[in-house]
Amino acid sequence: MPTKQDLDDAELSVLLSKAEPPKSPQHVDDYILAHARTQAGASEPGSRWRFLVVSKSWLNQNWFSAVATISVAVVAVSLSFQNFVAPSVDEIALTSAAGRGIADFDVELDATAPLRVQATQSLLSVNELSVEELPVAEEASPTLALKVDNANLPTAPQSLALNDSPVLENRRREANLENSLSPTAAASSTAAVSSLERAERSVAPNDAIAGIESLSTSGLDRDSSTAAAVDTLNASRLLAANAIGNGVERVVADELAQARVAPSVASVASSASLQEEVGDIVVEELVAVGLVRSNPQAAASPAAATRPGLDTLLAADTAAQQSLIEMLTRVLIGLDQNEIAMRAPLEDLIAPLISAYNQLADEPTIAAAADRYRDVRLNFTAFDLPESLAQLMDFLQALEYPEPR
Amino acid sequence: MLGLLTKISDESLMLKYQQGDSSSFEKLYARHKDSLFAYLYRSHVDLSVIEEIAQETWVAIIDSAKNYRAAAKFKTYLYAIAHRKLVDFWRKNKFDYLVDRTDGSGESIVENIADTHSPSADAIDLSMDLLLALESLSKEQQQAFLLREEGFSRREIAVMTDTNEETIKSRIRYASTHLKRILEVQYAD
Repeated sequence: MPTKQDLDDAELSVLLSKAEPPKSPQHVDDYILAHARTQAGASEPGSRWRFLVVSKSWLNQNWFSAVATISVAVVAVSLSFQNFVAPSVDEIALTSAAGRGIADFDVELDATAPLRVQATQSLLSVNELSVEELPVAEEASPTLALKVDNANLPTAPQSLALNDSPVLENRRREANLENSLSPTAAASSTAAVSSLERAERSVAPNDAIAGIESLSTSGLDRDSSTAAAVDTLNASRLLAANAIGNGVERVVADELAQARVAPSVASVASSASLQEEVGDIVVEELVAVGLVRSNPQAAASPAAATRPGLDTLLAADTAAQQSLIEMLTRVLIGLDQNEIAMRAPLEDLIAPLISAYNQLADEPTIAAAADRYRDVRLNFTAFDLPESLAQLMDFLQALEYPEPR
Repeated sequence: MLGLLTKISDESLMLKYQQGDSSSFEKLYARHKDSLFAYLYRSHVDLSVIEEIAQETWVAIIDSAKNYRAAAKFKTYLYAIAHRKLVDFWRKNKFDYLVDRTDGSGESIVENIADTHSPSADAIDLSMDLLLALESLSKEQQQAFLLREEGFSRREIAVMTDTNEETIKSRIRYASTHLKRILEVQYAD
């Protein structure tokens, strides 16, 4: 039940509501709403991206400047990325080697001359190179890969080790003595890679493949001289690759190859010594000896190249043969003079000469023989002799004469 | 019914506008613009002054939107600002709203209105007489009465006018009594 006061208040409210007040003017409404929109735009979240609208209009007028700026930025970023791409060890080594002219190991075998490789002997020795290292070396420098079945690669050092001989051992010791006694003796060493390259080029791919096949079928057959020749090349390559790839690891390959080849083939590398210390590749020694009896012009080994015509001279001039025999009898004191007298032709004396040289077992004896050879060589005027006794023995051994009986 | 349930509160609209939704403010303004204008009109019949105060009130709401907190009803917030604007206006224009307005002889204007018999009283709309009677009240009594008519509680009015509830109750009672007295006197005949 409403009170008297309540009823009075209700009457006043009714009367007040009847006094219809004016409504808000339109111009006041427009001003307030416009102000509200303006203030709302300042705090609107989408206003953060309003610069994109401005940027679009700016791009319409300045697109060329924008494109130029972006292009320069892209070039700068790409150059910076190139600086961060570190070259591989192989690339560094090959680049360094290229500066020394030994990077051209990747010799493409040319099939234009189907030569018959028939090496009769391969005496190889590899130092500081294990069988397990060979595949690694092969992988470390893929540019050095020959067209050779990789499955045959591990067999190469095994055959090399088995075919090691006292001749090469003597040569190795003599070379060390010569290098230590006479600094100028180092000049007798030729560039390993260039020699190796020439030797490789003298081997036709057909013959190389044939050699590989014979190696795979007959295992470590000593008569598979073609395979041995290929193995020699492979070993040379692997040694070089190992020396390059390992960077600071010193790899020395004293004796690499010594093979007799068919008349159509000049020679293969007989020895190589690669040495590298802290990226500085030094070729110690690589002597390749080769001789082609029927075609002397095809001789391409470094030794033959340095003594052109010596084999021809010896083959044609019996006086030269006799001079050489006499000289060697003074150098190799242990020769049986009776045997020399009985076998006057040089071709019959090569085997005894090599045998006498192989009997030089201890270093003092070898050093004495080397000294005698140097002395005799100084007074020898018949023709030019190789600089060292080892080279001369290599030369003789490379001649295709019968083995000693 | 469904419209009432889905009606967005004033506070939600204000918070949305705070986040940059101008449409929310438009809805809010549409809800309260006429009532606020009516309140101002009943407080002061000069339309030019009312428009100015109404505009200043809404601009103050807009400018302070980023600091708005929904601690009270938006309508209370809105009318409190409008009330202050009115008080500021009265102060600037030397209106004595603290005491009942009196004439030069010191008698209450309300009493004078009640005692004065206007020859045109019959022609005057009762509602308009009520508005004139409101003008005869003190500003405190007038504001208390008008704010109550706008639906605010005594407590809310006390907060808005910075006083206590008992004072508001007394002012409202005094205003009602005098308004009825005036109207009764005018239409007694």
